[in-house]
Amino acid sequence: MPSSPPLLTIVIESNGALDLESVLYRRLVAARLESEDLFEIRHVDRELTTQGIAALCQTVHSDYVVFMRATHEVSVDYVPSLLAQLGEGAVYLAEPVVYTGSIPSEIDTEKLGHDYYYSRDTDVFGVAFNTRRLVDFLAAVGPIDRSALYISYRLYWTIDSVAPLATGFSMASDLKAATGVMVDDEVSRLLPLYATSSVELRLYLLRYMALFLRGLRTKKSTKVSLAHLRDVILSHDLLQFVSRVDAQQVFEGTWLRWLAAAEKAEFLYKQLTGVDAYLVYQLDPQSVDVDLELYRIDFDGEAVAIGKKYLPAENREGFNVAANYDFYRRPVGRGSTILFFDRPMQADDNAEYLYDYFVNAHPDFTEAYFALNPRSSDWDRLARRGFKLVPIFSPEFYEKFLISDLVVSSQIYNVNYMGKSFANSRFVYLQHGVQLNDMRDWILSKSFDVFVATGKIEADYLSELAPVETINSGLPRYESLSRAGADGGTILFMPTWRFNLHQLSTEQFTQSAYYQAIDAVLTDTRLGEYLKRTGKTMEVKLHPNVEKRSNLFHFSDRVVQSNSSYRQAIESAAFVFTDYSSAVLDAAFVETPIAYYQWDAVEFFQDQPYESRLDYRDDGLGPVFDGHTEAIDFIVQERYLEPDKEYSRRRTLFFEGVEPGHINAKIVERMLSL
Amino acid sequence: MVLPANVKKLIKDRGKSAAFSPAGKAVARSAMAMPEGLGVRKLLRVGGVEDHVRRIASETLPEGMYYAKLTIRQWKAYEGKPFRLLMGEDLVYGNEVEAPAAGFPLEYRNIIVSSKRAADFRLDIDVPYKLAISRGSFTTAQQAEYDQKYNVVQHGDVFYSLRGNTLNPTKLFITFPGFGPSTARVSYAVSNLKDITEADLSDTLMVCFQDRYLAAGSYMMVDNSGRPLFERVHQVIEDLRSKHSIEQSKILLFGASKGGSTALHYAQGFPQAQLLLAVPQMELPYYFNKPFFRNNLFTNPLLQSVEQPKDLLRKYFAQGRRIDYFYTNDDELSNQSMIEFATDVPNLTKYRVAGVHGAVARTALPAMLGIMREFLTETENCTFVCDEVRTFAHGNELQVQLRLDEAASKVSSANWFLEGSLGSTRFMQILTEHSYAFAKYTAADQQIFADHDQLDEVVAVTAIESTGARWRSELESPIRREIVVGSQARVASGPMELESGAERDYAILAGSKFGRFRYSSRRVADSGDAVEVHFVPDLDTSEATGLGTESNIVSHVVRVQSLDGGSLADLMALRIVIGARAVKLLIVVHEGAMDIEACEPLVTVDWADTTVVFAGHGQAFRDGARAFGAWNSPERVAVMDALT
Repeated sequence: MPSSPPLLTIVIESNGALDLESVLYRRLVAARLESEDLFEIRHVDRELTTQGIAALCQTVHSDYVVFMRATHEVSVDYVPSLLAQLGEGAVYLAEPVVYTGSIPSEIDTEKLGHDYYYSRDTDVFGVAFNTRRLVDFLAAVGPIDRSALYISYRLYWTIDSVAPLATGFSMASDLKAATGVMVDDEVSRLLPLYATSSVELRLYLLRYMALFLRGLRTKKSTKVSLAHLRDVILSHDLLQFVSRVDAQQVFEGTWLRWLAAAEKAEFLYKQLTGVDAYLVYQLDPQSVDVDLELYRIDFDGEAVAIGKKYLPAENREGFNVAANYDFYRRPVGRGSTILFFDRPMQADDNAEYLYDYFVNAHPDFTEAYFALNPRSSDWDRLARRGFKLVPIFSPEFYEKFLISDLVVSSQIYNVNYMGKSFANSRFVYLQHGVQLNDMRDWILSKSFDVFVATGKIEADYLSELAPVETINSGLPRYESLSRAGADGGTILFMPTWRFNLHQLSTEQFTQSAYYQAIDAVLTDTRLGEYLKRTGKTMEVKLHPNVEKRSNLFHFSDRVVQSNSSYRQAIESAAFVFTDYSSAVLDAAFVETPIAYYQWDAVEFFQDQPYESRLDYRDDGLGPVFDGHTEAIDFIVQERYLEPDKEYSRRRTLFFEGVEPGHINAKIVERMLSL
Repeated sequence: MVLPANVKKLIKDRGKSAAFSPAGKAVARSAMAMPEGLGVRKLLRVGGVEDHVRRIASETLPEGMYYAKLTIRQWKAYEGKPFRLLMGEDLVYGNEVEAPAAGFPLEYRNIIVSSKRAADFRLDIDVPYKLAISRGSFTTAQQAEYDQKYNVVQHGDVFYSLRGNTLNPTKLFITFPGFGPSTARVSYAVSNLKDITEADLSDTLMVCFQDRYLAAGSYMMVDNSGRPLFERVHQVIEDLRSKHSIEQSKILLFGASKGGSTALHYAQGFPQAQLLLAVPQMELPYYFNKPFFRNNLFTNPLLQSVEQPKDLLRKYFAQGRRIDYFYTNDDELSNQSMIEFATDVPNLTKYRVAGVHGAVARTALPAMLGIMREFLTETENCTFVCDEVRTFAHGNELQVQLRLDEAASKVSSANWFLEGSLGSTRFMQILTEHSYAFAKYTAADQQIFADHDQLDEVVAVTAIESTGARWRSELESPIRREIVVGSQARVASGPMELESGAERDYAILAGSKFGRFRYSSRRVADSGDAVEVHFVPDLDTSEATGLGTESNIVSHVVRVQSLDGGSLADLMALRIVIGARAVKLLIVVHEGAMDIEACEPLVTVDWADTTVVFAGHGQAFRDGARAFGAWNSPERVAVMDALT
């Protein structure tokens, strides 16, 4: 028992018991070797809120307090670095360099500039606060959402600039950039309005505002008033930096502009061919003059409608200005540079198949390139096939992007170079699957000229958001998909991922329902016997995030881990089953029977950031089982071999409009017409 | 032995007289003409008498004339304001106070005065000052260092440095300098062009003249004594040319601003020489009508009477000389309606660069270096493909945007131009480089104006690299002027003619403002100090008899009809009074000549002795005129009944 209070209290939030074997925990407690008495660790098993933090501070006796979640990551020297800084004398706060992804091995605090400030997560986590000053601050400012505490604390104490320590802290997730911040329902004031000229703080504020608005698209209502938001924007002159928002959150960029100057209603959102898409904002909307109404948001009783409108390109501000280069004025032609890419480390998806089709069907287009990471195992394979490869995200890639007339990808990255982005240039989004969840907020956050849908149902759904951009062609990879395993092929099991499993120790992972359900299938005796009896093999295609733990699963001579590509695995299967993966639709497309084994359906859909758009049971292209026994029965009784009219009907409906032999040609025809 | 003071002074004066005698001056000049490295120069420098010898070697002034150095102290309160040095009531020198280089006093050196007694002079601003007067010219340590760095050597009354091939050159490249800041420590620079290397000059002798006359240069047209310099400078060039048997056609004369006017002056003696000019002043008195020059160069009689650059240029146009001329529309003070409207002049290439006067040479340096290198060495010609041509018509104005192919996109250190034809004259409109290297465009101040640009068509895009390499792409479809709606009428480009009474057209371009006029000017007295400029509604029907006054002798009466609602009428009046070399300007605005609102610039015209008479009965006209008087200069404005 230390004789005096420790210097620092580390508060860890986690659902359930704290994982004492996790990397995070072990890194934290390792600092006890040198600094046993200087810090303590506390565990809270509920989500930290402002009120919770205020209450905690009353019981914390240390001079400083830091909050984190069990899913976060820290550098090895995180605690020693904080303690060293805090031990030098009283400070308002001490903070590491905050990341959303992995922490680099070398942290260079000298290179932190505006890009860092704009991308830094500004939640309360990872920063050591002066406990007493935090108490003073919380007593003074009243109800502020936890997500705004860090910025508000700095504004309150006029901490314009902080030199981060050369140690790292990571949120280990960039999900917030996609889903935004959702503040507590009772919060009516986002931030206190203290003047600051600090660029660092204003960039934090700007990002926070953009994320708040992004979250509001999902929540639809807030007690925060429009007037308050306008005050925050105008009093900190946030529009000075708004182009940073445009680069990553084009929707919120328009929203911030409207909030700052409500008299203007239409804001350019995406340039297209011949027309441009605008977002239209309207206060107190009775009837809204838009092509599509997208949202109605309630701001403390004031309703705002947000809609989408297509207007002729000539209407665009700056359209007739020689200083503005318009990437759409140049038709896509034989001399056009066209860039294709799938994931940086993995091709073998829609862009690869479309590229292959395109260069063979249109050999006169000599400037078509396929971008990939040279370290990808696909690089040599594609090079041998004569693909014109460009290292993805290299200087050469960006130079090609700048002069390109078209980009085509199964992924939708924020490519932005010298002011060129997908908001002002042509981009064909092929998708890498079919949208089964309701992704409308995500879709409306993205810039594309063409969105490839598979089947009428998906096309109709997408057309509600992007009628000009949607094409119902089906995925390029479908066109050449075969069904080699129709007779006597393998059984393929392809479970998908759960994002809350990231930080688990091996012990906790093996205790998870996820692991246990999958491993139970792999080790099921009846299944084993069936496979042995029929001479079949079950291939298990683990999600890439689980591959590093594949040794924990109990494979056998009949139940093997698949090292094939998804395509090969699906093509060679006689039957495919999954929990939720949309990859099984590839199998369904070539009429290979599929099924779903969803052992954790309730929790799974609760944890998903997006709601399921289709009901697996009512709309799925195969049966859904929630129990292990039923699923195994279905296989060992070979019911999957029995023709099922209902699933056949659903399949026809699902893929309606897709012409199997004409998928690529249809997309290319549209591409070249842009 | 102690000499009495008066004896000491006598000896000192006699010593000075001996030193400044022709013999003493000859010795000093011989010493100063020796190369820097020689022992004599070293001895002078080590002995601390080099400055003294340099002063002795300087130009001999006639008896009774001296060099003066004015040092103004505590100048800060007068920064940006004019001052005059007076002898009695007579103006000796004037300027506008500018901050000197940090850490140095505010000095004006080599003012020519006619008394050696400082007490004979006074300054018209209330600050302490010092006036040093000498028979030899004044200089600074920085100037001496500069001269040494660039090997500037005095040859008689002419100063220059030599570079490149001094042994057996086949070409001669001659540069003339522009103005530096008036308060700089180095008042007399050379246009040394450091980018031009010795390798570039392997076949060429480069002569960089220094305009070391008066306080900051005299366009190398007049020496400190007020005598023409032409013969002396011409002889230097001719001696170098004949010494190396260089053909006249192998001479390139270059100058920017003042240097451009000087180059035009000395091109007189070499009709086959090529000229490379940037923003030269076409009419020196007109250019001198601004605070920096009004009380110095403007008053120099020789600069008023010398054949003006615009007249020389017209001769050269007629001779079909090769001239590459860089200019900007935003420089009417230099252009004087010459280059802007020049069309169908063989061998003339006009390069229109955007920006102010001082920015042209800087902006167009790559192209100018390229043209120099084309003259000096073999250069390369490349072609490329212009992928896209977009035109943007805004009323009578046209902008263009181009996209280049990949090879041309990589060209750096170059200027890009739209290339068009004005009859036999080639017109090059500079383009702005987009942040995307493949895109070039005409910015707002680089537009083609249907009203006054008389382009037949834009046929190509050209880049001139500083290396001299040219990149050219002929446009698949030339951009024709028909796509811009405009008057399409040819713009008058003849000289202003003030003597004959004939009806003439005249046009003025100042930035984006354009004004066309019809006028008729007749001389009414052989000598006179006033001109009357009558703005009339219609030249054909309006009469204007000279008003005259008892205190004025009117030399010219000019009737002017503005064709563009009074646009730039103030400049028209100014050009007339300066062109007539008159002192007083009487402007008479006849009711109906232009809207009353358009008359305000006439009331504020930048000419000291101006009176503006508004002649008419209309109440609105008279009220408007009185309002101008009340707002601006009551003493300038008079309102009277119609004259006819």
